[in-house]
Amino acid sequence: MAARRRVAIGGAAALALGGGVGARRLKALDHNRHGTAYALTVFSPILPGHEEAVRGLIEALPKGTESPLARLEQLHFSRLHIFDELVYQGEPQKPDRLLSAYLVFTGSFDGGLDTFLDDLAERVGVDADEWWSHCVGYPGTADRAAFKRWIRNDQIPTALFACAHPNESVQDVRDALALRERVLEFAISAQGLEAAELKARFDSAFGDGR
Amino acid sequence: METRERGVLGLDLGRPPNLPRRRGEPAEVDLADIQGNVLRGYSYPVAAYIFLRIDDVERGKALLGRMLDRITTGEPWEGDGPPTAIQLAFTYTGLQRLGVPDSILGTFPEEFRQGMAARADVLGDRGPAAPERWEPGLGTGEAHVLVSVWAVDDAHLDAVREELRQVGADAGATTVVNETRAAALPAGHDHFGFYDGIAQPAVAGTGVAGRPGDGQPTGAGGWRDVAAGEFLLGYEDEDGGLPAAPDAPFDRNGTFMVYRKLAMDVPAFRRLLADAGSRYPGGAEMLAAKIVGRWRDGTPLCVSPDASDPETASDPSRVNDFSYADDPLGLKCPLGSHIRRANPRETEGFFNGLLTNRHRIIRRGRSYGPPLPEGAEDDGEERGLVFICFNVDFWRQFETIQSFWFDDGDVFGLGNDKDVLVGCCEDGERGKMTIPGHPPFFLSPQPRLVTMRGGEYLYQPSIGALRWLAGGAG
Repeated sequence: MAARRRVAIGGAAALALGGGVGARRLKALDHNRHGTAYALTVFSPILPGHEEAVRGLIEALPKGTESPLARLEQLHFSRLHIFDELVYQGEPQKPDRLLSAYLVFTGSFDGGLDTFLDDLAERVGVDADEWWSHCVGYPGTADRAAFKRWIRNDQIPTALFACAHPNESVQDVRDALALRERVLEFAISAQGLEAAELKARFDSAFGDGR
Repeated sequence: METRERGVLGLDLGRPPNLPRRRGEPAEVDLADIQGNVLRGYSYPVAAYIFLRIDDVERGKALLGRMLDRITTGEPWEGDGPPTAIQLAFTYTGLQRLGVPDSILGTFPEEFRQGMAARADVLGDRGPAAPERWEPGLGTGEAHVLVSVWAVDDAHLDAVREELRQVGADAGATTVVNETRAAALPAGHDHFGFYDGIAQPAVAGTGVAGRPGDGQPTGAGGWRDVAAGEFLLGYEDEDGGLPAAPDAPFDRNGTFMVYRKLAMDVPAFRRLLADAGSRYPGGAEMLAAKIVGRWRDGTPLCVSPDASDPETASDPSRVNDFSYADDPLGLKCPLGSHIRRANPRETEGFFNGLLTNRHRIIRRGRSYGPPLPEGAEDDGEERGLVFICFNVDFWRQFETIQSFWFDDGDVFGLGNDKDVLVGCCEDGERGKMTIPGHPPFFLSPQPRLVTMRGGEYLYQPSIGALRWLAGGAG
């Protein structure tokens, strides 16, 4: 992480001097990407008077495997929440008033943004239209191009995000967990076996390279 | 307050961080306004936990008023202390019943207002431990007040109970909806045969010196006391601020209390040790120690991994003085052992204890039911532990330990492993405990050893707030 930051600072400094090398470095740095994971952050102003409606909506959303967002198999993590105000965390505290409340969508996923937005519109469109229809200027997912423009308009660079497995797809992680379970099951069932018997059992369980 | 050592030249040498603080400091917390069992573990041989329903509010308040001067405070005792000790705590429905205004009730934390039964999913109270299977009177909203009574003998205990019955039931003020009598087992052991109640957080500002290992690791090999605000409202907590608290008069010197009656299946535990112990290379007794993290006499595995050491176990300055820093793989004390889960100290990933300091609890458990003699058949009797703990934030403290540290293994890199003693498997799950070694040993399947019989989330007020509740001032 530290190394990445140094690149960012170096790149910006070079750019300020008008250096072509710096510009190329900056281009190589994608604030929304960590490994193969992309992080989308969208801040959408909520229409005046709609704050409680959207709050009720997102609080009622089922979580975990029942969540509408669970239909997106490339999704690592996602969160919908509301920014009512921003409080400066240092001393002395000075409350910053926002012009409106914001509905904030964050998500980290495999692959690119465009594919993700297509999948979101197709599989979660009805739900997404419900929560984003309370935001300023939302066109709906039916007009796919307008939907994507609207998301990109409200998108901000993520800059810093944590992804537990940035270089593995969600499917890789699921497969690895399943393998871990298989190995554990085997280890428990083979506990205390003599070497020859253990090898025979291992070959029959894993010998075909499965 | 002058507590620092002075050298021969009178220079202030300070107290090195690796030397435990010594006894005899004046208390900074208001001991006279705090109920006595928060900061002091009672050693009375007998106790009773009596849940009352308040039938008549005015008479209930009158009863409360009459009990006020009987409530034991946190002030130091001269000699052996009184022959009985009494404490009072209230459920949310109890405070409602006593007429605490909504404007104050609304400032109590959500977990408390919901009550323990509503938190069953978080706490793992499923299947036979589910709230609908609990003992009558618990988890239903009808338990309003918990009267805890300790006494030097049964006669003194019965006298208090009779008093409660007369002025309570006879006058139509209150009804006992649930009661558990608890007697200390021989030699301070629990029903599974372990010396229990060794580790407690050393609390800053109480005037009692913590033993090495009771506080939080300093990161330099020593220990420091835990801030009082982790266990008492109105005092600075580990984050340097005051803990979130309900409005006055409940904002100071009160605390939140967890009551869980846990039945322990002693025959099942002994069968597990006999069966798995015959396959475990270290034998049944070492397997028992690996499950708990201590030998039966209390010797920590971290101090003495191969056998119990009576000298360590009987030395208060050593019995809890150990670190997990030199045992990252759990080869001495398994990562999934009971005490390592309950307080991971400076286990790798917990940043020298920086990620444990806000998840400490004061435990005040006590065994109930008759002991089952070694070698005896299952007698069908219920026995177990009345688990009680104090914290200022149910979710951050007790529920985090129960839910993330006991009922799951993820945080320790143990996947779905649950604590062998109090973690319970879902239907169809076989469960296992991983005991690191070369090769490791998998304790599986994992039988249910402990079954929740009922419990409540309570608020234990200060003496002043009790007076306010009784209508004396406010």
